[in-house]
Amino acid sequence: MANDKNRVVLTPSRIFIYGVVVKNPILVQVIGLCPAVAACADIYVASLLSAVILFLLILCELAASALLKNVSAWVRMALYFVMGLIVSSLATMFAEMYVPQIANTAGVYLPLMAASSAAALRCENFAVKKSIRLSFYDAAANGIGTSLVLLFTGFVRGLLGVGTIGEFVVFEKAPISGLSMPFGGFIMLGFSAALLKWFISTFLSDYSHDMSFGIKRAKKKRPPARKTPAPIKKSKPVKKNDVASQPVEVNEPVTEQEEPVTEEPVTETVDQTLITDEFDLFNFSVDDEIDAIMSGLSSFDSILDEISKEKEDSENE
Amino acid sequence: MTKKTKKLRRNESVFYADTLVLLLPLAVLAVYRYGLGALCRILSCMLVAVLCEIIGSLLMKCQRDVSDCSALFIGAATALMLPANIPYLIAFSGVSFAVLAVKLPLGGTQSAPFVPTAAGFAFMTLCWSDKVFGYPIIGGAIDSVNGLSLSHMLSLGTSIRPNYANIFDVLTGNYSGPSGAGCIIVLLAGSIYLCLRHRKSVFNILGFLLSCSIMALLFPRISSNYTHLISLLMELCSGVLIFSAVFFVTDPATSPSRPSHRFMYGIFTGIVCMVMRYFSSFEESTCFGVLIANAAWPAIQIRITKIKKKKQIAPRTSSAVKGDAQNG
Repeated sequence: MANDKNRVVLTPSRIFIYGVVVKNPILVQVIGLCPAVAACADIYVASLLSAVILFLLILCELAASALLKNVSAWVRMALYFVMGLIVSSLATMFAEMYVPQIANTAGVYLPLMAASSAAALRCENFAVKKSIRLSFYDAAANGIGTSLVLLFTGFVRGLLGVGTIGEFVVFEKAPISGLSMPFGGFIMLGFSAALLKWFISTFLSDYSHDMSFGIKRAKKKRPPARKTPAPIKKSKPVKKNDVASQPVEVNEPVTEQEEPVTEEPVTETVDQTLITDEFDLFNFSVDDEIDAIMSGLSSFDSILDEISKEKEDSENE
Repeated sequence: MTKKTKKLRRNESVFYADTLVLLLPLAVLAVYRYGLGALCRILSCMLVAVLCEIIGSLLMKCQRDVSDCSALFIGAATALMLPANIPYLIAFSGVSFAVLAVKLPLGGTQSAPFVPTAAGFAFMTLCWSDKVFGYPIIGGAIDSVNGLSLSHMLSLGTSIRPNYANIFDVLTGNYSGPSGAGCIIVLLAGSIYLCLRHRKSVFNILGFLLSCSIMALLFPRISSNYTHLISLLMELCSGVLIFSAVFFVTDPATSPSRPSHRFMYGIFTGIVCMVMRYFSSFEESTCFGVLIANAAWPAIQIRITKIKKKKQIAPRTSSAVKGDAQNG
């Protein structure tokens, strides 16, 4: 029953909501930031990169789902990058042929799409475990989610950071020129993530708990409790035939009462073939990094605790 | 709210109230030099900071106490670090960035990992560097011609003439520069007041000034008759270096608690600030140095604590081994 809480039913609409909004690759999962931060300071460049990432995701996930399920993991990773290389080479070639100015503005970030972390991660976490149909939905959803963020970032950064929308000059002098720099991209993404969180908590409140990173703060290692003799209470004189007034055992250690575990009943009946584990699907490496940082912090706390305890001991002595 | 939290909050309120007291003479000097325009900018920045704090707290649905004076400090300090002719919109955006993008989302006054005012100034520097470093001439029309500031002279590699009048002008801030952060004598007097009120702050300020002085002496950017001394004078008195030493390096949220760590933090921040000044493309990059030091210091402190712990454990184990050998 406890595992059922973490399970979700994969319908196309749910996959789309997850991919576009709730688990947006850039704003929530924080993968594939490079084009959004560094390159998307113009709506045209953002459009080009969006098209490339959408095509790349669909191709990689379909191929992974259809062909790579029985291939070992280390070979799969190499194949993802080979596919990415093919797509990015084709995209670069066509962009230089038909839109050379935009290709020049995109610079190195267009060929760099070959090493797209988003494609590799979605293939490995989803496509190799699911059917071709679900993989296509997932690729489209994640591609659209990424594209929307890239287009929004490109539009706002172009308007405020450069003063133009594409070729149209809106402001003769850029109002906030810093937004066209990479740090402006990070600031834009930060505020966009806050906006998305507000949107989900307001309009998609059922999904709001799915948006978390799954950060668990490491528990502090408490020092073992000092053994102190428990105070012996004087027991009252027992009356004969009085069961209620019998003395209570006092030497037993006092244990905290465990809270009763309430399990939510699963109401909907679902097709077992579509059920999957949520944390398998949307697991990403950022969690591990954050866990490592948190454990580092907790170890730092424990060091400080130990030092203060040693000081106290020395003072007591 | 626990007693410890209450005490921390009260200490911070007292700290920011003291810093506001310190900013008062600087504001008076700014008004004396640049007229009522400077006063309008200071007051409006303070108002915008308080409004941002209230609006941000409402948006984030969190309780923030405006009475801790930190918002007022952010507004006043930002206005005093800028030129007296800065457009209002730029000053307001810097203040808004400091409060809405740095202070409130990153945990508020008590736990923000970066100094919000430094972050706001860095934001303005990156976005409008020509306006932020376009200082007016003292005594001239405020919007007419930009003056030559000490930091700009340092970035060009030119030095002042070493005579008493020049040195006195530098120490009293009688040259083009930030509207309120230029008067070194007032700032030094303020630092003494701050150290008397908050005694641990003396370690931060001393460490910072010591490292900056050594860097200025060892690596002068100018060539003159008395290169090293003039370099020391110009580096310390230019831009917002002393202002940062008094108000940013002593920030209670970012500085460590132990005196030895505070001293090391001051030294580290000073080195980073001077390196940023030497190699940055902007004429004043102290705020970037402060932000980098804020980001890097927690990791350094963890290392220092681990090393100290190892040193503490090592003699104990060796003495225990000796004792065992004697007994056995």
